[in-house]
Amino acid sequence: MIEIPDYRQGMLYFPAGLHKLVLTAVVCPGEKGLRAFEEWAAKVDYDLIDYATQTMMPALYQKMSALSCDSPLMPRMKSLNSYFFAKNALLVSGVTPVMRALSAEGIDMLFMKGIAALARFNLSLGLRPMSDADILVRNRDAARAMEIAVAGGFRSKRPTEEIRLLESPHSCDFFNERNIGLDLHFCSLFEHTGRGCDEDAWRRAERRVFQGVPVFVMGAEDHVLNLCVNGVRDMLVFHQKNPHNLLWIIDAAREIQSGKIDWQLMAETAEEKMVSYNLLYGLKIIRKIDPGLVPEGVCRTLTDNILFSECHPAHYSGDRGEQKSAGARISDGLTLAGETRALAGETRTLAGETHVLAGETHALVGRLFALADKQALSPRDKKLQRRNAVLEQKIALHRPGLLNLKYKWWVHTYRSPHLCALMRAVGFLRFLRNSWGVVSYAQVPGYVLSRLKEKITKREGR
Amino acid sequence: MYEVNAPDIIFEYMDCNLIVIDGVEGLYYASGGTGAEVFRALEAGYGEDEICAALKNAGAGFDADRAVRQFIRQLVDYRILREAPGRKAPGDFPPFPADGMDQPPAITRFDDLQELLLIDPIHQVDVGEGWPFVK
Repeated sequence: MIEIPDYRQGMLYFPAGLHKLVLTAVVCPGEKGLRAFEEWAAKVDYDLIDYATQTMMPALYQKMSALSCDSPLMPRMKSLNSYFFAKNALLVSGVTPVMRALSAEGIDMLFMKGIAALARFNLSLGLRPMSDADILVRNRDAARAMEIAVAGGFRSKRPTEEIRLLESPHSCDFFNERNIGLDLHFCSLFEHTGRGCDEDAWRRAERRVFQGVPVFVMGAEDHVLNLCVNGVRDMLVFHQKNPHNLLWIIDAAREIQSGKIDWQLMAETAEEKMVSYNLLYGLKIIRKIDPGLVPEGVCRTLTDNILFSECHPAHYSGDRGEQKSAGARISDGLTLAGETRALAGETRTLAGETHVLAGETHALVGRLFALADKQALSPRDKKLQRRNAVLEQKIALHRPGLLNLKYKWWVHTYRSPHLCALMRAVGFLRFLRNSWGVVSYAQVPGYVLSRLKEKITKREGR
Repeated sequence: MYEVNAPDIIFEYMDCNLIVIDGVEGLYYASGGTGAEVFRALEAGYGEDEICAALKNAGAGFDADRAVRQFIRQLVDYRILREAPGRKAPGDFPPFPADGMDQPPAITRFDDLQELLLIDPIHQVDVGEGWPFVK
């Protein structure tokens, strides 16, 4: 049976085994880090390391070089360091002309993820492997920024603007003839979009110069929040058990170690953006590597609002005014009324039968509004929306206990809107298996019995 | 005096090795030992004469004047360095390291970086030299 955290809803991954050792070696200072490295080096078959581990090798190499480590693995780690340096240098060279053009047009750029880590701490280029450069521009500059990227030889990964809106409403992935990736963001998070959604982050941003171009990087709190929410998305939404990117953990740890974090500000921002569960999960992962990095009390202050903050596309809504917490949204009926939600087709994600509700999002240009108009809700969709609203209320008002089957059933029903009753019943067993984190169906009864026994023992103890 | 042809050129020292990337042309250069140290001095703003003198003081076992001039010409031809007539040396020239300065400075050029990136950095490379030197 896999490790079961004390609370869960879609949490299927915590760093363990060799991943945990590498992360500990990179993140933890002094003796603890060195011991973790020695244990990892003794256990690993270097020829078989996965991609997530490969991307952590530059950081591990530089950390161990600084500690004058003379492991026989050092030359091989150095080789990956050179490789990722070259890869990143090519990427940076490819996106710099676009950055320069954006800057010349007076468009501010706020770096995110890997490129933010490099610029924020003036790191060696190879230290933080990247697959693309994530750059946030303000909503109002989105259309112009996209034009500049196209003029700079980049093409959108998605063939039409409609498909981009469905699949990636908060950003636009570009690539050029050398296959260099540029991810222009209009909102920093997939989970929280709308006009002015990042105003606070822009206000708290710090100035830097990168490749001779003036840019902004997020303030420490926003940076950690952003890293956590983006970092855990694959595990939370797509139930990925073997994530290929663990670098966000190292980035977040570096940020936390570099200065004083205003944890309260971070928690409040997460609550405002309705991503407190995502942040909670991210911080718990960081605590798993080094408990000293995140004060325990911080996790207790974060609300478990998974059902609204989970980056399930159905929760993606186009609030254009104030952003409200999950509870407030339920109480004043905002989940239903006043929102133009256009049902836009099935997602191509692992999540399966979910639908993307792409309403009036970031009001990029007129054509986006035209798209929204085209997609009026059919009577069937309206019925589905009403049903979802009822379920959302039920779910929000009940305690998400591990053995609360009624609750689980509502969540399952909510997530599988188009299944018939029979298929839903059959699928429920799979849902339970996944949400309890057991490997096979045969373990489900045993798991239930063990949890019941635990519950009874606790009750008797009281 | 010379300066690095930034921002087209991105370089980094890894231990005593130098890696230079020409992002515009997609070229990769590698240098070690004397080459990396001479490049370090050039990009810091020291001139040809100071470098040659320092090499002679360090007991270089080659014709320092000729080798350094040739090396600089190569770097300029490759568009890694450009002339910077107004640039001034930052101060007294720091001595070169005692070891690893027995070979004349040289730089190896790899023509297609994108093709190099297709080389598996774990299984296909020479363990001692590392990527991009293939077994």
